[in-house]
Amino acid sequence: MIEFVDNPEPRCPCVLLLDVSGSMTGPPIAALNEGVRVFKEQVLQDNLASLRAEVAIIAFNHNHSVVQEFATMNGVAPLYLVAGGGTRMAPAINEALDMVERRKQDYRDNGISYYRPMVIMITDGYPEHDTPEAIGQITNRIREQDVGRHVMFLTVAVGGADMQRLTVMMPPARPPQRLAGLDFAALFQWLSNSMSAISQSQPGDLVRLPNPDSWLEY
Amino acid sequence: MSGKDFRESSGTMRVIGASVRGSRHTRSGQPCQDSVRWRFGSSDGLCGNTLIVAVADGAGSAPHSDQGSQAAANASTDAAFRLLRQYPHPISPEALRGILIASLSAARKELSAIARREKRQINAYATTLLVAIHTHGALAVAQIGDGGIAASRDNTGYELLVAPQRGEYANETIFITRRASVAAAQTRIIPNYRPRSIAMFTDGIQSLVLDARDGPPGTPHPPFFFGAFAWLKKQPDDLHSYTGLRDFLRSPQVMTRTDDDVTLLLAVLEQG
Repeated sequence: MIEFVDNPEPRCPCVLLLDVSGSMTGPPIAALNEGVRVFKEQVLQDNLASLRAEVAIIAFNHNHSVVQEFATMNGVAPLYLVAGGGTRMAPAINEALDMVERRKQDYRDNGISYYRPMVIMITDGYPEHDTPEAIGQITNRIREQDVGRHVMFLTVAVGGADMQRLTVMMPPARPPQRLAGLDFAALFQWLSNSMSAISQSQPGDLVRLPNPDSWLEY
Repeated sequence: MSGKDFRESSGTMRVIGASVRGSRHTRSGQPCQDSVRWRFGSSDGLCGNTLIVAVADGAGSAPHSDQGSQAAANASTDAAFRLLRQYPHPISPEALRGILIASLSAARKELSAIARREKRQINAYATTLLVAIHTHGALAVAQIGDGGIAASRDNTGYELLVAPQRGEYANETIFITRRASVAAAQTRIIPNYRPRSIAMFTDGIQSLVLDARDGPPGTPHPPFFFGAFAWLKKQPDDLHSYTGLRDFLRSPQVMTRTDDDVTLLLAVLEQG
């Protein structure tokens, strides 16, 4: 793979799992698109993170689609998400975790070392179109993946998100966090800082992510 | 090691090593957490070409890993030196392995003792440890964590003697302070191995000295090692080689490639 020949730096992969259901219509989806733009801009200001941070983006409503395959920031296309439809989470989450596993294999096949991948789900809803079985299965997978340190799974709840149902799905140590208003810009600034911190970390370092207070609702 | 020790010990062996603080630790006011130590000599019943070297890389997340790496490098080399003097020559590969493991255990014990004395968790002293012993034409190497040991028999090429131990992720490695770390150490005893030169390094300088194009851990990058050993042989004495090595490790050539502490040890066992 040419991308690994040109850039043998270790990678810090992150999947953005973005809810684009109908309730995101209007200001929320506009703020989210702008937030992703800020994210790209911020990461590109950090030379090391520009080489190491990789982003993939999945948009989901009752369907899901990969709108951005894994790429370092300069390869991430501008994002113009449009909101509409219902919410089905499990297949989208499965896709995100599958993408992470495939990406790790790509890294290993190409001799690229990597940091623990992050999956960040941003949602203003709840899994209304998922069966209870699908929710049970995906809950197990998220917890097993996160507790086993295969990924770090973060959930950011926006607006009318169902905190109770989301909390049940997430690992106990990683409950969903509520975004203050529509401050996606602060969230993505924090994410950019986090990816810089991870990208710089050396063997034996305990990575402390920056304080998320700037975007948390309290 | 002073220049005096060097001149007394052997006319054919040169050893030099230095650890330099990385820019990240300079910015944050942390000390250099890498350590390097070596012992050699023909005196005290040791064979003329006996060399014991250790490098250790203290964990960035451990508050006292600078002391940990120093204590581990000192305790392991001292233990190997003491044990080698007690063994009748020629030493069997099994006995050499025993001495190698004992040197790692001595380092682990020393860290436990320090932690107990200071009433801290042993993890506060977390460090990697690489040890190499060359005596009577045999080479023994051990590795806990990352970093590497490269050697050349004929000065035409270099081989990496042990693969670095890492976790799954780029910022993970293994430390001697872990439970059962000594049992999990990678060791290799190579009888009839007469290296012309040996190099040891911590992971801070790994990207400069290993060529990882064909996948990790990579192979020793020949121009680097040829250049370094050719330079070492030209130095008139230890003082020149030490300051030269330290200045190189602090030069933009190295400092722009890493912000981590860097350690490099170079040993020439036979001139030629």
